Amino acid sequence: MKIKKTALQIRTADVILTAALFVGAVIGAFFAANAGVYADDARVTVTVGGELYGVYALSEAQEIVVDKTYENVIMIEEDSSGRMRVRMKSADCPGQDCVHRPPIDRTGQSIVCLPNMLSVEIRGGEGDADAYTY
Amino acid sequence: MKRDKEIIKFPKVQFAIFTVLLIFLLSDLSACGGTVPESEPISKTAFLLDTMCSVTVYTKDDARYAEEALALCAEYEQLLSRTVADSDISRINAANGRAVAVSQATIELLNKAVYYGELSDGGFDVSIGAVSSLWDFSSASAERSIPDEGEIAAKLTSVNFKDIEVTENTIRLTRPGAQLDLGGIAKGYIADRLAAFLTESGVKTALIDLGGNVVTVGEKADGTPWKVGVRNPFTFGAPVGENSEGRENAEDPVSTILGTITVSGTKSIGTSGTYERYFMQNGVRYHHILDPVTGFPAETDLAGVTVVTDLSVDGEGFTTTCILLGSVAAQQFLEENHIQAVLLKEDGTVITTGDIDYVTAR
Repeated sequence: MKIKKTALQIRTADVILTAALFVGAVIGAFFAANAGVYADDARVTVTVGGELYGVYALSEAQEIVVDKTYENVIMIEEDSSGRMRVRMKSADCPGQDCVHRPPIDRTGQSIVCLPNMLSVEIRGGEGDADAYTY
Repeated sequence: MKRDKEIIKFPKVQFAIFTVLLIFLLSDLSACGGTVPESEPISKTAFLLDTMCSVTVYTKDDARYAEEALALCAEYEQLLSRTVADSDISRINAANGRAVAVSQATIELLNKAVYYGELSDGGFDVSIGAVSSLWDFSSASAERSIPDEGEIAAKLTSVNFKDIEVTENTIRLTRPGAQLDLGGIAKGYIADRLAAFLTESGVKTALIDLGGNVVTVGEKADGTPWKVGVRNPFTFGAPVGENSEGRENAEDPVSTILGTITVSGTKSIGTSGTYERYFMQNGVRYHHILDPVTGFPAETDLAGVTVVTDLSVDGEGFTTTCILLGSVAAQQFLEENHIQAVLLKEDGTVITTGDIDYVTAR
């Protein structure tokens, strides 16, 4: 069969391959976009004795109870200006230093309870600084 | 014809449109990939030096060096802590005036400590161990109280850095009852050693954080300078510890940071404050920076001092000295020595010195 010069010869397999590439591109773009959303979100990471205890979204107000050697109650909440922050609501550790620490609301900031070897840190998201001195 | 069925006629124009669309989609995917941040910094943490220590690196290949740096930190703690039974410092303290052979690290650090004793005219004195051991600022202690005044007075006679005899490989405390406490300077020295280890290991970019004592190592991969925030102890409008009641109802929350310091390359950004380790008694805050003359927490109008230095050990010497000097003398001292610093007064006033690149937080 003679094919017109204005058209290309494309086999069925080529169409299937092209369609697969097309679908792959769409799915890939979807996941990449979502990966971007998650990576931009700040999260609250709790470690005990250097081991990961849990990861929580900074955007979701909640109370986290960590019951190890001592009990720490961590609050993720909105302050009166509408900014999300994390504070140590209470603890039954002897010194209570962690409860007296100022709240944290920026990537890289942390609150530590030394007796419980617990650390609460904000990670991910857009940070104002690479580290904090105190 | 069978072969004809396998071939689809596809006009050039349609093919071109389809190809452009496909390229657009693929480039869109590539762009989306670009918005995904590069792999996050890799932080290794450990509870050492009675605080939380972390070393952060920025490539997977460097992760092992972050682990090794923390192991090195633990080794230095075993050498320099007065609470570790067979450390160099414990052996010196238990020697009753005899010379003790110690490591070069201990010699180096003691030489620095004596230098800061001289620079501060005795304000910074590491021979205060007998007095500081009477006080308990540990967060693990429920009952923190003021020691007996008579006991403090008796122990004060053992304090004088001029009676620390340092030779090439030995240390001797010639004053009866003298005890070393390197708590005000050891963290800085260790941070410097970790920075040197990382650099020698070929790590181009890293962050060391020993309980808020920060050392930036090298340049950031993206070429931008380092930004280090200074934590605000007055987040609820009053020093922490004095306002634990009603904190949930704070009407006017202020920034959790005072401001941000910008530095380039390997620098130390260290802070001493009267609000980090303390206890409250009868409405008075008893903090951990002791005055070697009185044996009590230094009476100062400074709540915190942050300095930028090349070496962290120098930073610790400067910040502790400044707290003891108070804001007026500290500012003069810092300006005369061209030291970059941020001074936070108890009344909330901030003073900067040197040509520090500091921006107040909004």
